[in-house]
Amino acid sequence: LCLLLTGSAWARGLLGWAQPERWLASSSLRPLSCDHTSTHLQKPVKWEKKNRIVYPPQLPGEPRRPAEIYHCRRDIKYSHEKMWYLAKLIKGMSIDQALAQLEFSDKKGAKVIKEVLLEAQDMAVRNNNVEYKSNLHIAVSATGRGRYVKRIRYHGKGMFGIMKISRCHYFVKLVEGPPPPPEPPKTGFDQAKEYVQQLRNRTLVHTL
Amino acid sequence: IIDPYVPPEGDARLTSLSKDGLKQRMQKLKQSAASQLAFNKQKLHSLVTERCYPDMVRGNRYKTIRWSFVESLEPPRVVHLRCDSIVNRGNLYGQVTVRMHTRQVLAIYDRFGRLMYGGEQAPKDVLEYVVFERYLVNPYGTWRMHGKIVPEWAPPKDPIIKTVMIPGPTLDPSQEYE
Repeated sequence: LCLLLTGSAWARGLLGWAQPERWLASSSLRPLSCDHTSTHLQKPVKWEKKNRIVYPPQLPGEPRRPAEIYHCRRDIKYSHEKMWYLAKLIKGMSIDQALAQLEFSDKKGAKVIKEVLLEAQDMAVRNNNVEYKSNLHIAVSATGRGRYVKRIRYHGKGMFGIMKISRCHYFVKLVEGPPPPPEPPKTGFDQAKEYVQQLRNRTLVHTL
Repeated sequence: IIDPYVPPEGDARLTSLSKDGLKQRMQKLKQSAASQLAFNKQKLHSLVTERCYPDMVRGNRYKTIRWSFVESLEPPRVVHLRCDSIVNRGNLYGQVTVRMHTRQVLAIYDRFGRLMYGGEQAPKDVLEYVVFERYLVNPYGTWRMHGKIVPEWAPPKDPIIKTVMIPGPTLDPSQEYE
């Protein structure tokens, strides 16, 4: 009994958007000029477009601009929460160290991220005029959720559950140059100094 | 009225979400993008043949090229002249090879503005044999650049600024090497 009700409620909820009467009625009242130029159904491709910006030539006296390579992989069959652990692992590393860590990591996402990093390194050397392929470090490594899909998971006794197939995207930005030195952890002495400075900054406002 | 103006369909009924409106806006965007490019594609096609155009343009999209012609050291001379029909009989093309000894400045910058090849302050003396082609059947055809002839005795070009790794032979782990 209960599962029939839940099934029909779920179906009505899913098809709620597809009521044709509502759709056609709204189309005739649309204004001539619309502010929304892009619809929500288009896939966002901002990260790929970042690879297309061309900087103007540098003057001879300026410091050399480090090359930045953006790469991503979309719709990886993995959960973005689980992928985050790997992304956080390789965040500030040099590319060789990151590849070594991923090769011996047991997670499924490690293999995917390693492929992405190798692709990005190859792109850097071929297309982006990077001289030494080991001279790259990972500036940004992030994950995002992809499109989820709901499926039925069959249990015993005619019971079912709704399974969520999760996908994720992985974004990486390689920057030329040695990796930045890690920030020294905050000592107690630094914290004490900050506290004393805060006490000294106190002042009275709007008074004589 | 001779050749009356045909307004686009649904002129006053265009909305951004209808198909016609989207198509028109895409066309406008494409036209504006093509005209705002650093070089004019139409003009380049009129100055260079279809065989030469990809050789000139390939790999240039994300690079900045600065080229300037300083002076001509010798007056250009016509060296070689051929005229033949290609593919069909009657498709007459004329090709002329011109020997040019000139001074030029070339500097190629990559995507990030770093110098990849050449230099802006160093003019180079260049001896080139440039081939121009014209479609002779068309009375209004123009002479367009068709290609360049590089002789075997030509001096080697300047090396590029960065170093490139050439992959060596694949080594077999079971065998011993020196």
